[in-house]
Amino acid sequence: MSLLEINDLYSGYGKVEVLFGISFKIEPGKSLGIVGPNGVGKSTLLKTIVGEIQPKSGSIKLGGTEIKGKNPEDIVRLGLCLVPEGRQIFGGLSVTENLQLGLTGRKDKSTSKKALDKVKEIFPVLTSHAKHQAGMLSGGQQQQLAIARAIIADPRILLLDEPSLGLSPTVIKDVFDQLKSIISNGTSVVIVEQRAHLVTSFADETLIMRNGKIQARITPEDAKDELKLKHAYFGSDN
Amino acid sequence: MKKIKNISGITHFSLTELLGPALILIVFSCLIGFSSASLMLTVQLALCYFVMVLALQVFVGNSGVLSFGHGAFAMLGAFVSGLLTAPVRIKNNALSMTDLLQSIADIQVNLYLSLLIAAIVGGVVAGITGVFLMRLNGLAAGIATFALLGVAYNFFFNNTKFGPGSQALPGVPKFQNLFIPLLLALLALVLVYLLNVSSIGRTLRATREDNLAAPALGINIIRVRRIAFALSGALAGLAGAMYSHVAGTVQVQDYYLGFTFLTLSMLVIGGSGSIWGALVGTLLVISVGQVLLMMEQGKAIFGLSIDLPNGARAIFIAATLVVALLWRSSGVTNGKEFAFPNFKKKSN
Repeated sequence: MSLLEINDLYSGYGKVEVLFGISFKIEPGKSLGIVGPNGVGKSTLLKTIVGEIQPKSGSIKLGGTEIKGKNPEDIVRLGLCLVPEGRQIFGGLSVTENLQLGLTGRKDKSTSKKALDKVKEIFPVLTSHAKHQAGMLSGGQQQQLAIARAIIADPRILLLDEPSLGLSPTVIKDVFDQLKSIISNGTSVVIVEQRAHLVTSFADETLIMRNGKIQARITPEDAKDELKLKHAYFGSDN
Repeated sequence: MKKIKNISGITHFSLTELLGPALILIVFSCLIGFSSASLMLTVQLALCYFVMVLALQVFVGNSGVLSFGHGAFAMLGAFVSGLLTAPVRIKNNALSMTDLLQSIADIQVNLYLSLLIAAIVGGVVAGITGVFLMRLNGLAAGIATFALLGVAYNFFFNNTKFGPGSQALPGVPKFQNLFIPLLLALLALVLVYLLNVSSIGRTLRATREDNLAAPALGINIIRVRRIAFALSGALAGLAGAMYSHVAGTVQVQDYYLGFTFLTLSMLVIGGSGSIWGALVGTLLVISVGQVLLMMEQGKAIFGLSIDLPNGARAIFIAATLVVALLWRSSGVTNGKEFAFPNFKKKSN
């Protein structure tokens, strides 16, 4: 059974339809990329999966359980966490308090301390800034905090919306290295990005979206073919 | 201290942050309170206001949701405690109490039990009303809580079965000394501090910071706000009850607009984000208000006599609130907890 299975999903904002029949699956411990130009519905797709937007039709199954129509807080408790675009860390709270808030969605509270120690091991920079206000961290550190806060909830699947946004190339590399470590621990990862090269070389499979639909599915091998990638990303007319 | 830190969810427990305000409160109360009988009354009132401002800090300060409705819980606490402690003889014979329900007129409990009951009633009513009110944000929450205050005021003002209506309830036993209100204020201070450093306080502050990001972490915003609203309602009930035992009477007007405006001003001027802000705001407004009151009454202060027209005190507090909002919207303390000033020079 797939960990996350989306079938024929239609979604949007009020009367404005954005997604048209999206379907994909992701297996445990795998990574999936979703790329496409601005405005094709990538963030809408993530918001629909985590319950922030109610879909018009279709199904979203997590571990075989239908999660369509559930509240975002209930979906987190079922093991699906989103690191939103712009990080949405709580800038007025300390780094430690931000991390502790991640424990809210954790099922097994008895291992909370172990989980906190584990993320500090993966993201050592957070230990040295533990008492600082999160809003005072640099963009890269805030991104690491947002990811750390999400994985503290012990998700089965982690969704990241534009994790490279506003980060320098070296910091992006650090963040993606840390994501590899998270995947190696058995957590599945879905990354939504505009930078196609970054994700196609990283993810086990990448979906290319255009106009609210999945236009192509490519593997890291396919991505080496520059022309094929360009056609998939911009359409065959370009 | 280590044991407190080990309580589930409690972190950042700092003895300095708790003991600093507690010691200042004790020193202020004893120094001023024991200097004259009239100042003793002022300090007792200040302690009631402080408990009320703490109640507001728990909810308004931590959640960022404005509430004008806490006066309703204070009003309720005052009526419950006042009616439970006023002598049966007075309740059966006072002219203002002829319509009072006989079951209320015949009941009398001791002061401490009545304070506890007032807090419980305040908490329960806040818990029930919170089910509906905590779904609202921003302006809608402000208006709805204001409506709650209006409902409570009109209920007690027009209903003579559950109190003296627009008249005063006489014979409410007064606190005989400073220690009981001081002890209650210290108890409230410790409770609110522990709540602020617990997971409830942290979660509430997260909803204040970003109420869209909070659910993405599994936080149920309505649930956590309801818990905080009920707890702050209990504290407001206690504050109202304390006020009735300082004044020796209960009058519905005492807990209406003036009371609501004054206590919210104290919170905003001091800094709504901390118990230290609640204390500084209360002491500042009470102290300045007392000096201005003496000026209004034409009394000399340190040999200096300045006559102020009646109403100058209210205008000054309102002006201070505007200045505080413009100059430092996070209050005098900037919403931070108490810390000793750091005099160490930075090394080059």
